[in-house]
Amino acid sequence: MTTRCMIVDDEPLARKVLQRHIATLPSLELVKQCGHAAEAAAYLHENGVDLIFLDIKMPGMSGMEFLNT
Amino acid sequence: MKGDEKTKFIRKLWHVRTVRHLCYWLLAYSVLFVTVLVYDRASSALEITTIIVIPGPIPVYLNFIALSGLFEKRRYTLYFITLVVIVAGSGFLIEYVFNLIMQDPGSHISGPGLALFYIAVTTGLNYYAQGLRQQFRLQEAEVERTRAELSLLKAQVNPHFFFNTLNSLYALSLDRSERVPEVILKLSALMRYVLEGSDREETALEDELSFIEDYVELEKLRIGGNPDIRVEKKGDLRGKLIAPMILVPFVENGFKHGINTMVGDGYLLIRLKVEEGNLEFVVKNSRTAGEPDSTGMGLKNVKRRLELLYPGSHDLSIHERDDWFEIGLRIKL
Repeated sequence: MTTRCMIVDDEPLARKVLQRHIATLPSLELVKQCGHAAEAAAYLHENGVDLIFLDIKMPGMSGMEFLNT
Repeated sequence: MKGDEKTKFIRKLWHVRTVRHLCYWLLAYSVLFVTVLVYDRASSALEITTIIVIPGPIPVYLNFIALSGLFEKRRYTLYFITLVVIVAGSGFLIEYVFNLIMQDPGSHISGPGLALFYIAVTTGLNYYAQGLRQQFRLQEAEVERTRAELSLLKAQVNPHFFFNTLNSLYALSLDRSERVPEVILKLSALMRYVLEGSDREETALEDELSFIEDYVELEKLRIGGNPDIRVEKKGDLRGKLIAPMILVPFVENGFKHGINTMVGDGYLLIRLKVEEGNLEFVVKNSRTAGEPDSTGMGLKNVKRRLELLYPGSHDLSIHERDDWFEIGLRIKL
């Protein structure tokens, strides 16, 4: 069984780095990438994930605020 | 001796106290001589000035010794007693010499009065000169302080920026992106400018602008999306000089508190215009309403630098609304 994970980060290059790392680990499965917290929240309403890679400093809603919702 | 060496020699001589004082006395002597000469014959002018001036140094230097030994050590009572003794003693001496040489019962001078006069004038001059020297020292200290403060305030690019750019580079290199060499070159140009600018007082305006352009390119790389970021220039920048890193903090600010706070695509407009020796610099950026605004702190250093470097010849204005922020800077180059 693989761990379903998600990336939330506003910087595309930073997402790419994480995506690379996740791809090298067979136990992780990347199911969603989001550019901001609102998009991530919408996705989580419909789907479940096991692990979130969450950036803290983001425009709009910060990672900490998102975590609290 | 050549002219240059001559003036150097004279200056060196002037620093010897004895030589300097000798010159003062000669000057006083000649002034007195000319004054008496106007009313009397040359021979008597010479006589009178000799009688008056020759005993002059005695009370003056005795007083100087008493000043540094007593007065400046706050022993005022003792000093005034000594002063009275000096005035009376040297006054008596002056009168004695005067009567000895003149041998004219009709003429009389007040020895103590003359001694007191000498002492008053020289003491006054002495403290006036000391005050001047003190003032010069204070001014020099002030200049030195300003210089020290400026080097402290010298803007450094936020180290975070370099860290971010290296991260972007890492991401690009993972994909073997063709942009990697170009980005590395830009980054190295930025670092060189920061290093060289830190010990230079002025730099070409063109260099400051290309720093800004490179900086903007690297930030665009990181942000992604499609924000409207423009750098515009107008007028002839050639040959114009400016303090290094004086414009950059405003651009940094535009990203940090502007573009970086936008969820969607924002805009950042940088406009630089040179007209009749005046530089007009505008940075306008969109921002998210309600973002905690720390612009006051971020721009404090650069405001202080502007005050020190362009006193009275710059004008900084800030306009803001909930969703945009604009700074306008005008510098007389």
